[in-house]
Amino acid sequence: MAVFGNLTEFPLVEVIGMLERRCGILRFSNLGSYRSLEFHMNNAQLQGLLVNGNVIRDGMQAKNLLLELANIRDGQFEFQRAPVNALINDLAIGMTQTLLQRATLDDEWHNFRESLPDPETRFTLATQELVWLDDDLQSFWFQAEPLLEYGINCNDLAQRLQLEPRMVLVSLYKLRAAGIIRPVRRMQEVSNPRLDIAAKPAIVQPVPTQHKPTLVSRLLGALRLIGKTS
Amino acid sequence: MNESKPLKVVISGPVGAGKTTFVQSLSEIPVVNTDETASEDIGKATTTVALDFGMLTLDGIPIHLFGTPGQDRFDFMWEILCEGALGLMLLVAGDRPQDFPHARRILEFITSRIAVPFLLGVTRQDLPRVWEPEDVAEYFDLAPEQVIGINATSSTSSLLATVRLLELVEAYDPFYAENLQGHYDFGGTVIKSVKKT
Repeated sequence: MAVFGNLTEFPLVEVIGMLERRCGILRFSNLGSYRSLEFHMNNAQLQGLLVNGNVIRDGMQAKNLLLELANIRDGQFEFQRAPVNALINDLAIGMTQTLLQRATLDDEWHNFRESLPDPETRFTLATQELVWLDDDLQSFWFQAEPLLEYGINCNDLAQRLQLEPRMVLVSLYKLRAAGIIRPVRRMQEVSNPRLDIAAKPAIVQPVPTQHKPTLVSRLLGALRLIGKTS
Repeated sequence: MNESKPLKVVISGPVGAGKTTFVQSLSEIPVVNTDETASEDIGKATTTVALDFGMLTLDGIPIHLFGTPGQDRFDFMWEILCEGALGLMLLVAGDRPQDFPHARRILEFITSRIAVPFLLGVTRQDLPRVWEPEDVAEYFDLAPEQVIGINATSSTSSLLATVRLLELVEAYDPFYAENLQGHYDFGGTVIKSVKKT
């Protein structure tokens, strides 16, 4: 089944971010003044663009269209996986970077409002690799990075950096969309005993450290028994 | 330590995700339900306004099942209920992507502040046009193992999801439940006296 939805629910930058490791065609219908649009994309790179059925080969025209679409918040989309050799291959445009280019704070607040994190949600670093950032976001990043290293929320960050909370929240949203930060998982902070195993629950083996079964293993045993008999 | 002391599992998610149905499909007592006529357009006639409460006894240990209200104005209850929980099951309807941003906001708010093991359940997997769990995992930026497809109306499906949640708890810390039992004590004696008819 395809990934589908409406831009009223997901800003375009999030749709692209979600599909960044996919290869296929993202189709839009009735988006702004466009009857139909097709993004042929691979690893969040725009390789081909069709506007109302016509192929666009000019990179600048394609970038301008992306920036125009970044502000549109109504239009159905659907993504279908496709092999790379089925895609048009005229362009090479980093979609996330283009969509995160600077706009006014009011525009961004308006565009992203429904998708912004709670101001109390704590974020931390996700990667050491910096992707392209515009000047304002890069400036914010240099100030915020030391604080984000240990996990911090928007309200505390705004207070520490003496910045407007709205601007901080939008910047955190953009850094997250760029894959630079991620929400803290408190569970991982408290203790991290077997995190590598937690990613693969199916192969977890019982821990032979005590003769008596743990409570969770007893609960699991009872649940599996119910599953077998139901 | 009294090993029959109750534990709790919290079932959260947006309106219409299937929380009440999930609790009903697991509970061995009649679910205490606080559905009321919806005062705003939420796509159905009634909705949970306080919480759903059910109970499941496993190997003599009562597991309290708390279904939270889905409407935004009850967000504050999610965090309160998750304190001291054995696990959090967050449900989203796979055919309602419009609910994903709100659900992600809540999940991240809770899990960045409270240390609670969680599983994301994508309901309505029986429908033809529905997001698959792996696609929902991408949106929520979670490992695929932390997301499961559910048909909440099927008790088997709900049981399997609960098994997966407990596997995550066990993988995290095999003695997690023992540590919790000293921190959660909610009306076990009274509730044990209620029998399903």
